[in-house]
Amino acid sequence: MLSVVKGELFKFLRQPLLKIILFVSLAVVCIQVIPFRQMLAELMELEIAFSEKPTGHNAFVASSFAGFFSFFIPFLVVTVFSSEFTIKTIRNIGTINLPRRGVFIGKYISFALMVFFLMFFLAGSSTIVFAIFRGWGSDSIFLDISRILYYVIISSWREISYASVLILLTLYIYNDALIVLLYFGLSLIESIIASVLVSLSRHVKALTLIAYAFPSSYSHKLTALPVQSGKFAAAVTAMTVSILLTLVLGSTIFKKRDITV
Amino acid sequence: MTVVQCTGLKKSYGAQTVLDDLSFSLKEGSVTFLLGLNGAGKTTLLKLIAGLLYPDAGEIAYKEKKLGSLIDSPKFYGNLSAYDNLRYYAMVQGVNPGNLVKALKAVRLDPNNRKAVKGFSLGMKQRLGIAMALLGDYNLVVLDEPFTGLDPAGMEEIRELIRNINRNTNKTFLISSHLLAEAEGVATDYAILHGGKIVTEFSHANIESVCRRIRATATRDSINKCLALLAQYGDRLFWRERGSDLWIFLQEATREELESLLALLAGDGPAQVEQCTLKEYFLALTERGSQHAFCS
Repeated sequence: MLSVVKGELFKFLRQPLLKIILFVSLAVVCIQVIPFRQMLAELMELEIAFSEKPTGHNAFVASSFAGFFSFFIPFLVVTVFSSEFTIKTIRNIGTINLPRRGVFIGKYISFALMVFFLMFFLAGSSTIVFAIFRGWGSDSIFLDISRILYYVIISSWREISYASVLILLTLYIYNDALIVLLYFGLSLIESIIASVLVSLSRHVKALTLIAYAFPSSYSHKLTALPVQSGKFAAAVTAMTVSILLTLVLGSTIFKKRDITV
Repeated sequence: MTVVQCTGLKKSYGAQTVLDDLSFSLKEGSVTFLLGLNGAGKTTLLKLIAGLLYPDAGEIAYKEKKLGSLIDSPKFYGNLSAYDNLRYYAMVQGVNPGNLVKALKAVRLDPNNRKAVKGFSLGMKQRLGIAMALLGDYNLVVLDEPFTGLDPAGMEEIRELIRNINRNTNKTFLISSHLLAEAEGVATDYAILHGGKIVTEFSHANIESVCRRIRATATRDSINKCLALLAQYGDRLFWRERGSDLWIFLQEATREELESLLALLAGDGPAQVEQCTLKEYFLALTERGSQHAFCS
C-alpha cells in the first residue's frame, strides 16, 4: 500500500495538472492579496476591502483564499482515479501482485496527501504574499500560524470527504469529463438539499442528524472562529464517517469487480 | 512442475459464454503459445490468469503468483516518458530501480529519451509494454499478442529476447496469438483454444506426430464414413475438405488406429498418411464445428 502511495506521488509530481494548479493558485493569490485586487474590485464596482484588524487576522483570512482550491478537486480525482480507467492503465495496476484493496486505499491516501500538500501550499503562499505586501503586524505569530494550520487541516479534511462520492463513481463511470461535470452538478444539488434540511431542522429536530449527511450543512461551522465545540465535533465525525465509508466501500467494490476496460 | 493450473473455468459476458469448463496448465519454464481464432477467448483467459477478471466458476491455482503481463494493447501515462512510466510501476511493485535501464535496453528503447510516451509509435509502445512485463522478478510472463505493431526485425528481436530470458532464467511465458508464424522458433508448447475450451495441447517436440493427417479422396462415402467414426473417436477426429481432397486428423492416434482408418478409406480412392503444417492442423481443428454441422 505504501508503495502505491509512493508511486502515485511520483506520478503526480510529473503531471502537468500540478503545474497548472500551482500557477493558477499563485495567480489568484496575488490578485486577491496585492493592491491590484483593490483595483480589480473598483473596476467591478465591488466593495472588497481588508479588515483593519491586526495583520495576523488578515493572514488567516488570506489563507482562506485556499478555499477556491475545491475547484481543482474533481481534476485531482480524475488524475488519481478516473483516468486510470479511461486511459486503461488500470489493466497494468490490476495485474500487479498487490492486494486490490491495498491499491485502492493507497490511491486514496495519495489523493488525501495531494489535497493536504496543495492546501498547505496555497495557504502558505497567500500568507507569505500577504505578509510581503501588507506586513505581518500581529503580536501573536504562533496563534496566527496555528489558526492557519487549523484552517488548512480542517479544509483539507472537508475537501477529501466532499470528494468521496465522486471517487466511488469513478469505479462505475469511465468518463473523465462526466466525472468533472458530476462534481459540480452534485455539489449544487447537495447544497440545495442541505439548505432545505437546515431550514426544516429548526422545526423538526430529527432532521438535524440527516442534515449531517450533506456537507454543505456544516462546512461553515468548521472554519468559524471561535470553534463551537459541539457542532464542530459533529461535523468532523460526519466527515470522518464519509471518508471511512468510501475507503471500505471503494476498496470492496474495486476488489470484487472485474477490470473490463 | 506446474506454474498455473486452471480447472473448470467458466466466464460469461452477459448472455455470451466465452469460456466454458476450461482446464489448462502451464509447465514451469515453458514458452506456451495460446492459439485461437479472433474472438476465441484468448484475451479473456489471459485476463483471468493475470487477475483482471474473476471466473464465474472454476479456479486458478498458482505455484506462486508473481507475474508480469501485457494484456491487450499497451496503455501508459501519456505525459510521462518511457523511463518514468516504468519507474512508476517499479515503485508500486517494489522492484529494484536498477532493472529499469536493463528492461528498456532489452527492448531497444533509450532510457535517456525523455520524450512523452504519447508521441510513441505503436511499435515503441509495444516494446515498452514488453519491458514492463519483464520488469520484476516474475516467474510467469503473460503476453497478449505481443508482436502486434512490430516490424519483422522487431518481431525477431522480441522472439530472441523471450528465448534468451526463458533459457537463462527459466521464466515461464504464456503468449497469445492468432498468427502461427509468430510462434516459430520460440514456442516450446502449444495450446489451442476453441469453442470456449482448450481443444488440444502439445509440445513443440511432438509437433510432427500431431501435425499428421490422412489425405483421402473427398467423396460422399468417405465423409459418411468419417461421420460414422465420430461415435468411436469423438472429438479426437476431425476433417477438412480441400477441393477434391479430404484431410482427416485423429488426435493422439496410435499406428494401429491410423492403419485401420487408412484401410477403411482406401476403398473410396487413394489415401495416405502425410505431414502437414501447424497452420493446416489449426484450421482443420478450429473449423470442425461448422464442418460437422454442414456434413450432418
